Formats: sequence, structure tokens, C-alpha cells
Amino acid sequence: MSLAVDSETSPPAFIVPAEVVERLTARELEAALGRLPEDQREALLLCDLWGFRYAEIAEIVGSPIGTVRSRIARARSRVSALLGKTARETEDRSKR
Amino acid sequence: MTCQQAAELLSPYVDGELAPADRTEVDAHLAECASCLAQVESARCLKHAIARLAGSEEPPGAVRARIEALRFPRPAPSYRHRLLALTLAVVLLTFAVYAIRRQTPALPFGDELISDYLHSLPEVRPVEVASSDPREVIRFFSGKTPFAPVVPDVPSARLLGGRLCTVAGRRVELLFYSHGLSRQNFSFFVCDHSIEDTGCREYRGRLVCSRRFGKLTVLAVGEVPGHILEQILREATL
Repeated sequence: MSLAVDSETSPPAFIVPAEVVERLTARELEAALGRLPEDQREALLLCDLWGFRYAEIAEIVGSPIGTVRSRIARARSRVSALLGKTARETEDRSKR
Repeated sequence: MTCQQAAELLSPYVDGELAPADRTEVDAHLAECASCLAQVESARCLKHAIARLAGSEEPPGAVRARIEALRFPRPAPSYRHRLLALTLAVVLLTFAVYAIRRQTPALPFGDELISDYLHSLPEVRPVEVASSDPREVIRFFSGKTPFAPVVPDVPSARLLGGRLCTVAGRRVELLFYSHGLSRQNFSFFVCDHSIEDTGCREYRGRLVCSRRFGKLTVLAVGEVPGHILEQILREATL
């Protein structure tokens, strides 16, 4: 089964269950964030970690607000998919 | 609204960045769609998990430089400009305070609220539950308040914890948050007191803003400027 983590045309989806996110270690989350394209990671961290509004992020990164909105949604979707994959791999390993 | 249409809006919904009309449509869709609601829960948890990384993640050098450039972009204004700006600010502040006092009736327990707030700050007394996880904070309040406990979600802020308080003879939640990059703190009192009007008013030199959520009222007070406090309360969702 392949994971649609990179599609730019399909709407963003947050597929990893909330319980899985709650069990995450900081290292796992940082690893997933590290795999994002630079522009998406930058927008997501400015929003979630440093608490900037979309309009402020647009000013900081010099991009239109619509682009910022899209980058944040794509970043969340991609991190979510990566974390889901990590959780499944961990589960498979523990079953063996 | 279909799930496909909603999917495009869920991320800005979680960030409190949707126009009121879109927000209402998404709220209506979420009330009927468990799948989209689970996605919102997931995105919120992810947002909180990233917020908890604070301190371990530093802005990349290039971003930090751009933030600094935006924060300190202009050379110091001339004396005349500063005087003009100061005069304008005083006039606007006077009008704002007058408008606030005129429009919002006093809370019967406004002074008591501020007193409780000042005596309960984490710097003064340790919080009873220290967590940025709303579920853990809700668990702490369960059975202690005369209403089902809630923890409002504020997209631009990080939950720090809470403690139980008594205001006007009734048990209430007192929640502590840190706002965005400024790290300035503010608090929410969540209570089931019957308050007719919502808005902002000053008590003992501090602004208290209130908003009704069904049978509950959330009262915001804090170290952040008044207009930010109002914005925080507008963004808050239960």
C-alpha cells in the first residue's frame, strides 16, 4: 500500500489518529518535521511553534497568504502521513 | 458542504484563520461527519504536540533574521513624529476605555475575579495541573466543577495548566496560557455564572473580556494588550 503524502492536487488529510499523536516522542516528531520541504516546515513551525498568524507568516516569508495557508495544510498532511507510517512500522516490529 | 470541500478548510479551521461564514459551515459539517471531526482532532493534537517542542526547536537562521528585520524594521522616528503618535495613542486609548465602560455593564464579581487571578498566578502559587494537553487538564477538573469541564482551544496560544478557583461562591476553572511568540501569559476563567452581556471592562486597572459559549462563560484576563485579549477570546473554540 502506498501513502499519498506528496499529492499537491488532492485535499490535505490528517490521517494519523489523535491517540497516536499523543504518544509521540519529541524525537519522532522532529524527525517527521525534518523530512518536510523547507518552505512547508518553515510555515508550519512559524504557525504552531511560534504562534504567528497567517498574515504575519506571509510577511515574514514574503509569500501570498494563500500560499502560506496551503503550505501549512500540506505540511500537516505530510507530517501526519509520515507519523502514521512510523506508528505502523513500530507496531509491525513489536509483533515480530 | 461535502467532505472534499471541508478538507480544504480543516487546517485553517484548526488555526482559527477561517472567515466567520466558512467557520460556521465547517462547524455544521463537523456536527454530522465523524471522519472530518477525527481529522480535526488529529490536526489539533499535532498542533499541540509541535507547540510542546518549544525550546528544543529554534527558528532557522534565515527565518530568525527575517523575523528580527520585521520586528525592528524602521529607524527611530523623529521627536515630532513620536509626540504626534503619543498624542494620537492617548486620544484613542481614552476613547477606547470610555467606549468599553459605556457599553459593557459591570460584572457583579469583577473585582473578586481580578483578586483571584492575581493570587493564583503560577508565579505566586503553583498550578494544580501543569500540562499543555487539554485532555489531561479536563481530567483534572472532572467532578470538581458544577458543569462538565472544558478547555478552550486558542490557536495562537499554548496551554500551560490550571487550578480550581471559587468565584462568587461557585467553583470555576482557571486556565493559564502563553500567547504566541511573545510568551505573554493570559488566563481564562470558565464558569457557569449567568452573565447577561459579553464584552470588555476594566476592574482594578485590568481588562476583563467575556464571551458566552452556550451555558458557560469564558472570562479572559492577562498580561497581553486589550485588543489581543479580545482577539484571543474571538478565536477561542470549545
